Amino acid sequence: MTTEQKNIRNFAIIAHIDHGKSTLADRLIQSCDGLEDREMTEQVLDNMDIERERGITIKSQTVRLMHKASDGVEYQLNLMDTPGHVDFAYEVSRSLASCEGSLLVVDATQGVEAQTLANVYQAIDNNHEIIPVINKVDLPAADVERVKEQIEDVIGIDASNAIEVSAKTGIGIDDLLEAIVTRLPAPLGDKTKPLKALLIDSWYDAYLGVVILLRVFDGVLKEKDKLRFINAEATHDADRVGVFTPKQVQTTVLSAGELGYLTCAIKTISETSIGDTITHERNLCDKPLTGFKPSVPMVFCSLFPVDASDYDKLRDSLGKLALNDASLHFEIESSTALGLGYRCGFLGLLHMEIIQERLEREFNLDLIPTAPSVVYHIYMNDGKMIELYNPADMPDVVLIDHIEEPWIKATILVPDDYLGGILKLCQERRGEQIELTYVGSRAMLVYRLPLNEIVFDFYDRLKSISRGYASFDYEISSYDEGDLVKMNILVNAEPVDALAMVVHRSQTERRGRQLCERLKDLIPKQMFKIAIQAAIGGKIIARETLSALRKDVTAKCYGGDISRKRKLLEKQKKGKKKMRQYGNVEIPQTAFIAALKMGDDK
Amino acid sequence: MVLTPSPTAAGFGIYIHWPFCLAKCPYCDFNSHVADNINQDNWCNSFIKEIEYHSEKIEKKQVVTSIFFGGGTPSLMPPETVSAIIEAIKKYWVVATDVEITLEANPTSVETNKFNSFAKAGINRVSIGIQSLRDDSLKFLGREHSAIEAINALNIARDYFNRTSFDLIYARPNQTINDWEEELEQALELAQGHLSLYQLTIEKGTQFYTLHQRGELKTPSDEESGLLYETTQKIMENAGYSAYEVSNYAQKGHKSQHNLVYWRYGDYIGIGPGAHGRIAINGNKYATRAHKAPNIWQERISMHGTGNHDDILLTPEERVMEMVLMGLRLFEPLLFTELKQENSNFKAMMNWQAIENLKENGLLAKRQDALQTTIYGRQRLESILPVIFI
Repeated sequence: MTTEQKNIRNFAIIAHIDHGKSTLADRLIQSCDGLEDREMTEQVLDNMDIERERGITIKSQTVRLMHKASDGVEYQLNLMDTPGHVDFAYEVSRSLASCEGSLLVVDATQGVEAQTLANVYQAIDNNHEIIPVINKVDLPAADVERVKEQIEDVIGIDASNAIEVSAKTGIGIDDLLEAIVTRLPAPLGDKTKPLKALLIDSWYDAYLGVVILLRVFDGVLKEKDKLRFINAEATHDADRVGVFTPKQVQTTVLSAGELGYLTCAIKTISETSIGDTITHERNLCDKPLTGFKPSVPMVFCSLFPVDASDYDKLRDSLGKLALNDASLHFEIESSTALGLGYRCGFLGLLHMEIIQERLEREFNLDLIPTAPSVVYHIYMNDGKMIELYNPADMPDVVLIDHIEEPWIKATILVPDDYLGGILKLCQERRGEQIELTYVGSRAMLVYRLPLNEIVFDFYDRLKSISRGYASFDYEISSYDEGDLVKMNILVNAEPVDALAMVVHRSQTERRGRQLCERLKDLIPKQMFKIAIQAAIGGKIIARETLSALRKDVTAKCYGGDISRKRKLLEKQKKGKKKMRQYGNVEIPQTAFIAALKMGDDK
Repeated sequence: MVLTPSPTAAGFGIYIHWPFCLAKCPYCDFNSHVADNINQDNWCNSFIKEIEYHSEKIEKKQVVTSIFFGGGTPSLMPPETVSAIIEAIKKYWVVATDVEITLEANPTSVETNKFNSFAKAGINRVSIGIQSLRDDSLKFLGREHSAIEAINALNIARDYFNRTSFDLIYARPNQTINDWEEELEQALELAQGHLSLYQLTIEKGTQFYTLHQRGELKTPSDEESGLLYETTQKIMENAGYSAYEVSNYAQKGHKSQHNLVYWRYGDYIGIGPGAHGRIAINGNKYATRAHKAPNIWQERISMHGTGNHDDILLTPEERVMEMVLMGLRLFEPLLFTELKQENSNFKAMMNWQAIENLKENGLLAKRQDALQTTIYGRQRLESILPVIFI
């Protein structure tokens, strides 16, 4: 199954969530007989349940398809399915770097979204030839002309020869395959040169160990080759070499221009860095590929098991997830309120949510996550700089000279009707406007915003203000000094460490009031009156009082009811394990979760 | 197995469950059934046989201190059946001279006409399901009698029984404090020493539950029901009725002895479909329960000689929990010496710091030798219970 290099086409699919990327990939696979009909499940490439359910891609994947084009030649098409979310921006950039072209998929009923923009710019940066694909043209609400205009106005690429398809019904798929063959360039590279391959992604497979997804730029990779991983400074023997069709097929060889997989009996993915350059140990390539950077977590939160005895299980589960996710960082944390848990670092909010959900779903853990926070740079009076990962660890204010926080550059696309509300939101969140332009009836806003305002509930507010029509994307821009303070939440005068947060002074009142109000609604009435307060140092800035429970006794209780009542009491006793005690106040963990959850309408 | 009763046993109560009603009330989740024809002879035999079965487990010299006919609607029973049951009990056990024999009754004329016969059969106390003295509320509660009938029933009962009690349901939808105060004052004029005043509770599996789920039935808020409860306590106290249990009020000498067996965690046997029992044998305590479906209960009796489903040996911890959850409903101390009899190590189960805290905050009485709820604590009992155990 060797294909001449000129008959290879490598391409990625760029799309916003829900614009039909995975369905389109499914359809292409089916058209090229990659799978028989009975083997087709929906969204073939999204292996994880969570990927399928949320319609997102977390891991990059490739599929090699063979397609006989109208010129009678059989082409090798390598389809790269990439994560679409900003959290995985680096993974996306490496995926794009391994292809020569992209399909820009836009929903004919929705138009261009902020996330699409970020990815398409990356594709342009990678010199991709881009084929605009307008999907869902079969829907009554489809407005192909408007979407084409948008693509030209917003992105600035020619959309006159966009391919109109319906991934669902199969309309236009043949035209698209033809366009891939005729419009995208063949890969460059020289198979006679020393091996130079890009490590695009890697994952852990229970049978094979770590599976590496790679793109060969120069040279030939064969099984049993002795390989050098340049950035990891490690040497491994090539064990198996092959491709996905999407079934795993061992080809034993991959040549310049091809995409495929490699296994080397590597046990943990932390030994493989995305973006690394793979070459031959005894015949090194001239210089490594550019663009390598190690992953840096941007958002932190702590995870505590609801049942303290699940701590070991949490540790093992995080370990298992980390096998497959080099960007997940975690270390032990001990909280007086919540017991033993882990402080975890994530690439972003979606990454955080996904990890939490997988821990709960795949490992059956009940977790209490603390408020997400960012990494602050604390400059001490003695000139030292401390990276603060956990608000609870904030040093004494008198020792601090100043604090810096991370800022982002955010791009927001929003229909005109909601612009006012979004501007107000950005302003409230200490945003600085950089740009405001119009694209048809939509405004494109570029703002500088502090990341700590984003991690709290920005995204949910954005969605609620715009009724879901605004789209949002961001990149980290810089660390800047800010007037930041630590805010404590007190329940009956006892500080709840899990609720402590670092807040900009201008936001303390709003945040404090909001949290107190929310807790008042979430903590069930108890036998005593409860004071809920927000404080900075010794100063109370917000207060709510939860009145005492009035009456709850069961009216009727006779002989037969004893067993039932006892079982209920046993259940309540067990439920108390899910409560945390603050003085004489019991707070159910669900209240923590809900209080800390980003997103509310207040 | 023949089992010797514990020497300390202070007698026991017998509960008889008659599972039939003429109609199912929309709020009731008790084991009651509407049946077209009931073979009375068969039923009478089943009860006698079941009593016989229990007589083999509990020694003859044990003293029966109370008998309670509940249901369902036991006033629908033929008086002959009631009589036969009481006679059977007397045959197998010693019955205390001051035994309390209660029958639950509905106040329709069909049933009040039988009061004379019930009294002759041995019933000496009736508990009448009046539920309300307002006709519109009776209709809402699905009752088949009017307020006038209810008042008549009470008058007739007075002629035949030493003691009567009646039930009222309050905290009904749209019931104001004033409405209830008036109704309760009227009830007090009719009362003869004992009243059971229950706040309407929406139970799963009832018609009201469905209505409530659909939002078509609004019950008072915690705040309103708390106020109604506190008002009730005050009115009853002023009228000389002691709130001896969460929902039960009695003048001196009128407390329900049978129900006190439950609340004091004494021994009782349950006879009839779905009936529960608690029996101490050789220092062990067993929870018994009978098959719930009337036909299955009868079938089991004719096939296996008993309709009992199973006897479960209660652990010392379970015994303490049961005694506490029942005992704290009463306006009397639950002595540590009593708890000790259920479990000598009961103190290890309790969260003494929380108990101290509850005392400080006025929810538990400040006693060193007992647990006791205050008025304030009793109406918050569901929150107290999980707290006082570790």
